Amino acid sequence: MPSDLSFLSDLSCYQVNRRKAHSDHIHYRSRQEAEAGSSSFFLSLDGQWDFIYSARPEDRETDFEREDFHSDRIVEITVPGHIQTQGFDRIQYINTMYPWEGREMLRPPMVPADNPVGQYITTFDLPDEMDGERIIIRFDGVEKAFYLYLNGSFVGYSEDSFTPSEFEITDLVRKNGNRLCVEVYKHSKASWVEDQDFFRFSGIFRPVCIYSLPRAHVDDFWARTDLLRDEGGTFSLSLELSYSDPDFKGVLEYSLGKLVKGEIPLDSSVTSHHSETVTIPYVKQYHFKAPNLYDFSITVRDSRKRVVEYIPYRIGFRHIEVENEMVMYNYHRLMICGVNRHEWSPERGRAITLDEMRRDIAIIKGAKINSVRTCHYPDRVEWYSMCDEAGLYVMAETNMESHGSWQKDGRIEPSWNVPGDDEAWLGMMLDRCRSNFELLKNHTSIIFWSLGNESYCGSVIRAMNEYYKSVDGTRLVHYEGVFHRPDMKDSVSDVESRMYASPQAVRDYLEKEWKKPFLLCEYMHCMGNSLGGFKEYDDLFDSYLGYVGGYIWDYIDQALYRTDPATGERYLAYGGDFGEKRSDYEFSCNGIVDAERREKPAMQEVRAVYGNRLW
Amino acid sequence: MEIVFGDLSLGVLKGDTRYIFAYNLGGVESISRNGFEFLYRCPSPAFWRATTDNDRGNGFSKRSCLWMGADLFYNVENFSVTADGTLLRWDDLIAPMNNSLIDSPLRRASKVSVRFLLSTCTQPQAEITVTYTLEEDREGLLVDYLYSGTEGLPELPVCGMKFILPFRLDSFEWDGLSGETYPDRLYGAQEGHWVQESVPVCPYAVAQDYGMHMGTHRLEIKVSGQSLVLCQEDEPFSFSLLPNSAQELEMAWHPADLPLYRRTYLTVAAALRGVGGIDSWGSDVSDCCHIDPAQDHHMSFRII
Repeated sequence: MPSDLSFLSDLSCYQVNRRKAHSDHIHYRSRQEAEAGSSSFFLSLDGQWDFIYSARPEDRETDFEREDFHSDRIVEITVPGHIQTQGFDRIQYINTMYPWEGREMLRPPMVPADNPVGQYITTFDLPDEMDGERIIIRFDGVEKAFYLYLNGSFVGYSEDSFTPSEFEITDLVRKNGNRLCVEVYKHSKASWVEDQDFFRFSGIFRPVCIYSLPRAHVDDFWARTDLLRDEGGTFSLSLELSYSDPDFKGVLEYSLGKLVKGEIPLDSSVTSHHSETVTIPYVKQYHFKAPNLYDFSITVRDSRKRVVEYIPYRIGFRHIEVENEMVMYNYHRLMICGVNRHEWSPERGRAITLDEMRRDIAIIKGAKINSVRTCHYPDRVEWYSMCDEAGLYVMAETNMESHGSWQKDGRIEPSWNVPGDDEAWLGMMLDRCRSNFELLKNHTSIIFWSLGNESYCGSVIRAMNEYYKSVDGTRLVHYEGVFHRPDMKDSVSDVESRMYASPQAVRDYLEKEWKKPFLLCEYMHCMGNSLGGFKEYDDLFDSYLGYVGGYIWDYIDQALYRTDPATGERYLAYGGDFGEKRSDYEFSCNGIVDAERREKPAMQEVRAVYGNRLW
Repeated sequence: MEIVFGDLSLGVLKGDTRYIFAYNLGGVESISRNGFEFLYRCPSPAFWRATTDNDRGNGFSKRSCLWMGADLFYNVENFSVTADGTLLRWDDLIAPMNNSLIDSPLRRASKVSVRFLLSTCTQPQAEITVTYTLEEDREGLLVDYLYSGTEGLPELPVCGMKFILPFRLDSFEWDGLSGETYPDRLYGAQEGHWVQESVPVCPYAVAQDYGMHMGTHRLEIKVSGQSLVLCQEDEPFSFSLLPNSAQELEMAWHPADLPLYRRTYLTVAAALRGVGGIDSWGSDVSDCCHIDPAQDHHMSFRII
């Protein structure tokens, strides 16, 4: 069955057969396996895949999913990785303008005709341990839309480039010789809301794995904690379970350090559970200076007490709220000394490695920064656990930016803004919020949900705000774009968020208008030789209780290695160096470190200003 | 000291160091020691810093672009020498009047100052007075720089002097502030003794001004076992040591596009403009950190 291209532009079709989003826990066959750090429920599919590149949809192979498919167009590609960094298509950097600017006249939700397609093919065998178990396939990130086939049959479709997509393939998978086919499109209607200021890539750029579910499995949990004013804490647990064995009987044990222990008898009718809220007299609080986390675990046992699955996690206690127009963290005024972070590698673009992420943590902590904003999409899922452990407060942003739909070269012109007030976008945008929340809800480091970036404001974004408020009372909701819709400020964003406001503009708000805590979600544009006047912002903390601080723009230069044809030497290239038009050229290079993660001179100022304020 | 009243220059041998002041070029064309030459060309006024991203974003370079030309070209308006209290003017110093100096006791003067009056190739013109003084009982060469405030000119990107050193330096070290500093980015700098093992490479994606060090008391540039030292006279000074000129940096899209490092560009600044940072598309630098062309800008330092 050839892919149905109407999915790409149909606003109601943003996923087909995708599994419900759930918490990002990893399940193991035993505690020993967890301690060794490798789960035999999981099989990585990363590596060299077969690949067919087509510049346009009409050039693609329409039967590549067939098991008898042969083609001399097949080449190799590395998964994970972008298509464009591996010699196909053209690398393009562009900021607010849509990437088809000057080439195609489009309005939402139209999809450009210039829409490169990557057809990926790989094969795999199931490990013996997984034999007979339910099998799931997971794509951690595919930009921007894909159709999935297994053994000749259509499995499903998904978008939302920066969020895991999972599909159950139990009924299609074989023990050996599975043929997996993925057809990836650079553009879909989602391109209108993924107009982030970055290089425009496509492809399977984050890891791919299959994993199996045992007879009884915790699909989702939420270990909710709160820190009380008197050093105590509360804990409650919500669970969702599923079973492949209708006769399963057993028990689920959970514990949080030595603070909490519980047991739930299981049979296949127990598909959800909500524990009572437990109060604990004394807990260590979670703080950026002392990121105390407690070991949380869930053990599912069968009727003979054998371990069916073991799930470890790390949970902390903290409390965040708005009180007297201030943001209070653990009952003290919160001061954010933050940075915006794009995922970046000078070799692989946004297909970054765990090592690069660990280096980022070390550099960011070394700069005395206490918070990161995941601009402007959810990061690789491992990032959030790293932040938990490091004590980096996270603003977890939803994958949304439609900058080019309402601002043209600085001028505000929202005549066709998306998602705006168009209910047709509502399902898709709420799905993005749900995926972000459900995946990440257990991460103690996350203190803000952010609706996205620079997308103006309308009723759809208001509904996104309502969604987060309805599911999570333990964190704040952030959105800057409502600045352009003052009439909606009462219903969108817990903080007054702005970007690049001058120190005087901050003073004006806090002296004349102060209705919400004031946050600079982006400030100090560190492009080239910059960061002058940084201390002036820091001084605002001393004068205004309502000043929450800000996130420097940004952490790392987005520049890519390219070989200089004149010298044969490698250099850091930016927009326009790849022959692409249109481009915003060097505007992607605003980091406090360069693309190779070398500190820029301004780091001395960051470390001193943030260090003296916080440490 | 041994003074040479040349036809187009004043030569001074002081200890092991020979200085040649070029009347036609408006400054000290040569400083040599043990046969090692420290200058590639006569120093000249520095009025341009390679456009930073923020300079471009807020339109500063467009408003002040006349200073880029002024940085490349300048006029020598006048010069004079004062030797042991005797003032010698232009006419006194060139033939035929200098013929009489061949027997003058001033050829053994213990103090000599050479003053150059320079002017900018701008409309209106601004004047710069550079005075070089050598004294038998004081170490090195005192350089005194005065930019005379002039109404009607745009704000300056930088105001000082630039020296082109004819070598690739081995290392340099300085007493003063750590790291790269500008008037609006000083807070994090630490006072101390700092060593840099090689000339700094432009750390920014687009080639632009970089590497400024404010609040310096002493700078030592090391090359081939020789060293050139700059010392604070009254106030600490600001300097940068770069492998390229402001114009070379201005024209390069990437640091990789720059010409090979052949010579070292030493800028000593009497006034610096801040770099700004609020945004890169309009916000100017803070009020504190502009260089007013209508004000005088002065500095003095000693070259040893």
